[in-house]
Amino acid sequence: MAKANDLRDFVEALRKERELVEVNDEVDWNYEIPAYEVLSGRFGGPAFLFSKIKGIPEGPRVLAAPFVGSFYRPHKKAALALGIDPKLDRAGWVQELGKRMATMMRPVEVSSGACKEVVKMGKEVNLLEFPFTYHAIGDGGKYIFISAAVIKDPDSDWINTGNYAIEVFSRNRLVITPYAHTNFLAIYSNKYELRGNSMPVAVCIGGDPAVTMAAGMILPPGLSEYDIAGGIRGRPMELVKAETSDLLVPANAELVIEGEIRPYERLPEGPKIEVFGFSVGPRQPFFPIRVHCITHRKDPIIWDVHTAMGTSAPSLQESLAGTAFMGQVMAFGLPFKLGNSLAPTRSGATAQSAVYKKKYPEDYPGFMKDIFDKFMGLPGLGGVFAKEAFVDEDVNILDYGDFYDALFTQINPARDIHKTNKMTVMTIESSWMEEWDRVAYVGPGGILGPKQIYDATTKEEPPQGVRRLNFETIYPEKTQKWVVENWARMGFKEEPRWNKSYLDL
Amino acid sequence: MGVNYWLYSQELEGKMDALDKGQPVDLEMMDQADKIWKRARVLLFREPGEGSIPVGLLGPFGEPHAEGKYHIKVLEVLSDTDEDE
Repeated sequence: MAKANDLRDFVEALRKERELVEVNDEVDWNYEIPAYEVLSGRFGGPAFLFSKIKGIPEGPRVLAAPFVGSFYRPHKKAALALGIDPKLDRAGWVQELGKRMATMMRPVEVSSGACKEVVKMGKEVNLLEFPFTYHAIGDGGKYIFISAAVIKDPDSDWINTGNYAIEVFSRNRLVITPYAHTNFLAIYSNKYELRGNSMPVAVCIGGDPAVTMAAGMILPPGLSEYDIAGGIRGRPMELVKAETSDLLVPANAELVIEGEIRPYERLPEGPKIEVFGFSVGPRQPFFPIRVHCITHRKDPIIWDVHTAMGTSAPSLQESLAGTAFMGQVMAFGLPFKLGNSLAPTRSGATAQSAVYKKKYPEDYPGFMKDIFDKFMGLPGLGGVFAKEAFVDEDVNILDYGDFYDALFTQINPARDIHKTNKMTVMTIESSWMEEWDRVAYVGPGGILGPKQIYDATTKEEPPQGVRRLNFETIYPEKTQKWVVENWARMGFKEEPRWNKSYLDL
Repeated sequence: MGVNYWLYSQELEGKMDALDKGQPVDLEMMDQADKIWKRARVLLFREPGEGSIPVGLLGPFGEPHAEGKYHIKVLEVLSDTDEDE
């Protein structure tokens, strides 16, 4: 069987596509490395591989800006990481990733892996030996923004992985910051902390990028990101047992940090730069990981991402938004087709909005309202999207014109805008709250805020003969082909936007 | 000017009684060498003095300000690592 894919294959793919700048001069983990990424993000620029880091013994390298994308093609490096054509347009990317996600594959356990080349236990553990970076003025510390934190449900064989902001707190402490909507928090709070138990956790850096990308998706309880990673890679992930627990970690990871979160223990965390292009604070209590063991390759590549406009984290958010909720749709049998975030932004903020395409007309009056109620109660979905819009199946949601047309012509303002007052929201929205608003909305269970749902679907069967006027729907296929084929000959310079896939999202 | 340590202004505000009094106080400071918060026993001064070093302050959301406005003399770093029992 061919060697499993890993981060080094991604580096090679970046090199081959001329998307990598290799730097042998000494650089500083303090501001400098992240600063290169922010500048690269301004023009959809390259990734960087730094081999000499100030104050760090020779060995570890840093891969920065690995997912920097462009406005219309935020997924270009994410595609490279998965061996997908980076030239695919947004519609093609969403479809390809969605198709792969649907073919989940269970991981396989192997007896050893490259991540075990060096094993350090107990007193030997020193997180400060590794080139984790300090990203911006005012950050509360150095941060790991890209990893897969592996935990396990103690009551089943469900392995959960997620990508969270993790502060490097000391030589042997990390502070991890899962948001309120995450399965991580549900598992930890309900199944470990409330029972008075410690939770083993392994923070895995590198390995197959598919694992980390799946870890960044919002999936329903019970579904393992390892299975999704196997699907999007097209082969099962290879996992090896951790040193200090029964957790299974990617065998070809670059670095694995093993530890435990003890019940009711908290340490201060933040402020920090955050996806969506803002810095958020203040310093507040989060979950410390007591680190007991570090295993790594002899010359680990630590990848590092920034969250400012156009950098890796927002590009990745833009790439995964729209597919992330597919798991929910699959698991709960919701009557929607694949959704997508609308209007790409350079901050990744569209990950907070979502558009869904209704599969069929309402079964009965009030059908959509019932669906919304169900929707808001779903783990993950109810927690993450603050603004959601529902449109008909034949709306091209990647076309602003088409989408806004639906929004402004299909909504009865008296009936079709639904607002909830206090639902879990993400940090960024709450960051705009003044002190007096925070008192009302921020509670021990998480950050709360209002949400809006715009129901821009047709509420009843349209009268016979009414159709949306798309090139693809109002001409015979033969005519469409003829016009597209003759497009350039007629003297038009722009590529004709003719693609059934735009209608099939 | 560069400073070696940043302190949280909110924490400092609660310890201003000790300013220029030669009275040791414990506080958190972020070491700029490794960007790690350390708990330390220090003396607080408004003006530079022998053995003291300038510090900067951070607002609640990490806003740096008042760089060099106060000075500290580090008597003892109480912890820079967390022991596991």
